Amino acid sequence: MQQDSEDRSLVRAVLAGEPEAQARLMRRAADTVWACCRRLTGDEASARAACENTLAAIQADNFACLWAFDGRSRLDTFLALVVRDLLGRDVLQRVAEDAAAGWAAFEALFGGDLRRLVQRRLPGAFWAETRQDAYQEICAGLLAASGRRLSAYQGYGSPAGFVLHLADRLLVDFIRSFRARRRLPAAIVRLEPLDQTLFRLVWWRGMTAEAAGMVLEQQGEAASRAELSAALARLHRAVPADYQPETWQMALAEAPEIPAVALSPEAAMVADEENGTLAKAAEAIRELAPGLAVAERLYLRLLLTGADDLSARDIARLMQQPVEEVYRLRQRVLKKLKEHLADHPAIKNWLASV
Amino acid sequence: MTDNPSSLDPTLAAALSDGLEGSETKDGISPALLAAYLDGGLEELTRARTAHRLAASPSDFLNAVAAMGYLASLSAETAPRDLVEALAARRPNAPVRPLLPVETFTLLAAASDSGSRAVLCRSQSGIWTLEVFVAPNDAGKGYLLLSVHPDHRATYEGRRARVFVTLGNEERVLAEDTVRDCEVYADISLAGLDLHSRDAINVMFGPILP
Repeated sequence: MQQDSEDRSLVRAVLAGEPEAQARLMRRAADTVWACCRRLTGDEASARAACENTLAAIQADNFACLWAFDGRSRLDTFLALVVRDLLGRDVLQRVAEDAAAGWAAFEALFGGDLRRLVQRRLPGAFWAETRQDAYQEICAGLLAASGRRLSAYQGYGSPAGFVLHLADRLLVDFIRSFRARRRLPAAIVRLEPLDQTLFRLVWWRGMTAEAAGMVLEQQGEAASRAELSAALARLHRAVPADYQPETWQMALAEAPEIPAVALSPEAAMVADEENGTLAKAAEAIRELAPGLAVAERLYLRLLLTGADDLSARDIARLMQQPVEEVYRLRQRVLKKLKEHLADHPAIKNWLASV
Repeated sequence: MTDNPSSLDPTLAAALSDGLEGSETKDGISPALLAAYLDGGLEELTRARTAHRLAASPSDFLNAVAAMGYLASLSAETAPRDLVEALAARRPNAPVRPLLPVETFTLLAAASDSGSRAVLCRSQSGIWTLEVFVAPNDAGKGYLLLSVHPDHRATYEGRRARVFVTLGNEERVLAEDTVRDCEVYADISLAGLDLHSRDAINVMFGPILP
């Protein structure tokens, strides 16, 4: 608190034009700015140039960017976020002027954030190769038409928020394409629901038969060892010898189109049903969300965006709630999801497993 | 039960995300506000309002999550001294537009003469009018309207205005926003304030920020 008060007084003196305070502020800010530039640029030379430009930008117009500092945060936190914004704006400007030339700086600045975004939406070892494709897909989408999407940034709001929202939309489209192109083989469609679930777990999610059996048990679809063995035997007979789950190891741009006419009537019906239930589930979320408390809505967004790399403490900081309250919040949100979405089989399975 | 809210199938999560798409604001959450939020420095109403924006806006939400990771990843570094000393010795360039002085409005009960119980106080200071209204069903909540005479629109439009009271050694920010269409309008918390006899409201105008 003492430091906060000193920081605020220092910034006031800087804005009042006191040369000594301005020099002191520059020395005070330099280490934070340097740490940010080291973190956000690719190498020492780039960091030095970025640091020089950023400190000059902080000085610009009589330290105008400090005007927003009001002592409600630590000065270091404020400066770190200001530096991130300044570098983000600079990089987006460079991409707008020449996408190819600005791309290296863009990737140095945002590459880590983009990879973490992909990691959250596609967590775990199973999706490792798909994550590579997803990252490439995002980069291709951002660079398309000479960076048209990135050039749309008009200087309002956070550059990182703008970039990450664009990237997330591209990523969601990429993930949606899994479902569009991943169809149950016709021979599997004719089997029992237990067989189909087992097929998805073993052939699509890469689980061992034992792990799949445990998941089925958690989902309330418990099968005896004998039933599982029999189901596996049926699947081995039914699955074509050359079957490959088409979508997981190729970039979207390289993936073959699957025309609707290629689907059998049965498969088309299954696909329509899947898409229909997903649309209904999205609609149910749309109806549920406005009735949730703000903290619950924020938690739900976190839930649907993925949070594998965030600790309970991180989540608590994001929610501005004590850790124990976050656990209670989680229970409340899951309960409400169960009440509103339990009719959807995939959600039912998921809720049973968490 | 795991610690993290994971395990949702990615295709399902992607589909469900559609149901959550919310509204984006033009300006988004500023670095100053985000820093204050993450550092736990906001008073209750502003914190709740910021959480609401995070829940509603995908870009603000994604930015906040990334910012947390970024802040956590910063390590203690020492900037090259030659670079620092050269910049510290350099005088900043002249402002594009001169900074405006702090303008203070003293809002006392006597300032109100509206005859309306909804208006807590009103004060006019030159070209500025500042009004605080009480929420109809909650005496702890209010609305603040700061408006400038239209003849002075060119001078103030786009500038940031910070409205605050000083309580002891602390500043409590009631509203901070950009002047648009000659106005700043904000929900405020009246809890703990005595605008009738004790707490003067200060208004500070800043530069046009990028």
